[in-house]
Amino acid sequence: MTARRAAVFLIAAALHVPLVIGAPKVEADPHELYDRAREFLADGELRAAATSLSRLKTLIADRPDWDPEGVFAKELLPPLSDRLARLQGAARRLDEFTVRSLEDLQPPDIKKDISTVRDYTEWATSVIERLRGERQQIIVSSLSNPEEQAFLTHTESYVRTERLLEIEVLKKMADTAGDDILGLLGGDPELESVLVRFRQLKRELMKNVADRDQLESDVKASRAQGDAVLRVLAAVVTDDAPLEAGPGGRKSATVAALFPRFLDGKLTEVRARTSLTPAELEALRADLERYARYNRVLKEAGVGPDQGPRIEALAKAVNDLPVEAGVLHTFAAGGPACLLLIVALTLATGITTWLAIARGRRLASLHHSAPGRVPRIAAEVHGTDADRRAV
Amino acid sequence: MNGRRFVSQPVLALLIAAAVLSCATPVVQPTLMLEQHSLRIPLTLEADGTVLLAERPPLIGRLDLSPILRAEGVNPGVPPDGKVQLMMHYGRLYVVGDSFHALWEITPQPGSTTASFRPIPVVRESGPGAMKDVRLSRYGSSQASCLRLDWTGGKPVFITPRGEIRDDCP
Repeated sequence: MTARRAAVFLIAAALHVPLVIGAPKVEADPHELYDRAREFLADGELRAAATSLSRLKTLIADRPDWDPEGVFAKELLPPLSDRLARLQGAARRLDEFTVRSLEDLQPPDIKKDISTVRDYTEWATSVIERLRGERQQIIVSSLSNPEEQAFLTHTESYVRTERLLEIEVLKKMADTAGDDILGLLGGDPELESVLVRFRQLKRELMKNVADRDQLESDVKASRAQGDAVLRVLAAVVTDDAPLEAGPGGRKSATVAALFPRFLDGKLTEVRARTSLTPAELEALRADLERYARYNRVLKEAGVGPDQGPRIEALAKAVNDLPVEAGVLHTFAAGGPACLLLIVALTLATGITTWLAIARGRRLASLHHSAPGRVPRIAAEVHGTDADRRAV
Repeated sequence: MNGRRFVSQPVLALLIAAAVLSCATPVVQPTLMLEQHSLRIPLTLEADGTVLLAERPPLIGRLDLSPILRAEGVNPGVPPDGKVQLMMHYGRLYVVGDSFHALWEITPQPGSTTASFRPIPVVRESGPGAMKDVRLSRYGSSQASCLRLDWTGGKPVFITPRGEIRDDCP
């Protein structure tokens, strides 16, 4: 609650707006700022107290009318500023103590020898007691006034030392000893609180590990799904063509790598050609349109760089190739009369062929039949159609 | 003869008076410097309309504000927000609270448990025109500081050391 109040105050102070909550809606006077600073100090909110005191100093310096006899400037502010300075100094020393203590924590290695368990528990107990003593020494040497000592216990710095003593030391021991210590410490009433804290830490760690595993599993599944989608996409944009391995001999499955390689292959293929048939040309142009479409979609999706230059090079190579002139194409160029002639010639050729085949069959049947069985017919030869009657 | 006697009687009286005055020891009241102020003192109203000064040490004592509450139309049993502000200024006490229409000046009578009091009207209208979010402060120069009264929606007023109300502190 006090932290939230302090935050509200700090934000309001930073924005230079009057506080609305719990204060008159008129400009703050020195007494209000003084009261706030005292309250913040009592709550251990040293930063907020410093801000309030700073505002008070500014106010009475800029507008001395608010402090006619200098009561605030000479009598009330200095002791409060001194108190703040003492508390800040003590808090700073506590912070240094916390950092130094954390760095110096070196628990014995319990895994080396089971007989060190007692040493280990004694180490934890003695370390906590020693650190408590050091902290108390810092507080007493920094602050002689019991009221200020009480204020200090509300500061963030003191809370950090509490965390050091209640959690960090045990956590350090847990990190070193692992879960084995839980079984070894069980049953000792003196260490029951340690055991309880250990179990709590273990539960938290297990939960964190479970959360982490779940996240990793989700990430893997998501990644596999993404890879599958990219493989399908790669097969689509490359017409499922088998591609050569990339640089280094490693086959890449990414669309970003496969698509340009596929286009390069197509370009090489087209450049190897000397000419194209119209049908091939039409198919290639359709392919080019499709590649351009793929490229646009991939680029918008952020999958790989723009392959526009490759597609343009391929289009140029296609357009530069000469197109072969086919038979129908030639005749089609000759006009409808030429087409009619082709049709007439084709029909004449067909009829002649059919007649020749029919005559061949008839002659073959005459050779194979007996003379007696050959029917006789009267033959009269005339001049003009001698050939036809001779048949 | 009669006229001479008529003139001599006043002269004789004057001479006698002069002789008496010349024999009397002059009484000179010694003085010393005293600045008697206080910071703003928020106090809680009791159900009977009194406030206990001991709520804010080092002051101790009791102040019966029920006549003032009655004059303000405030039921002592149901105070507006249960709070009043008190400030000592040049030996006098000043009291104000939310929903008050006046600042009240209380002048102690030394050697007794009574004090005289008077209103210093600040808001003339009644009802919604009453003061809200009142605040007493000291303001001005060190030679003659004023009591300053602020409240939401109104211009501050100043009470001089003589107890006069002004729009500014001279």
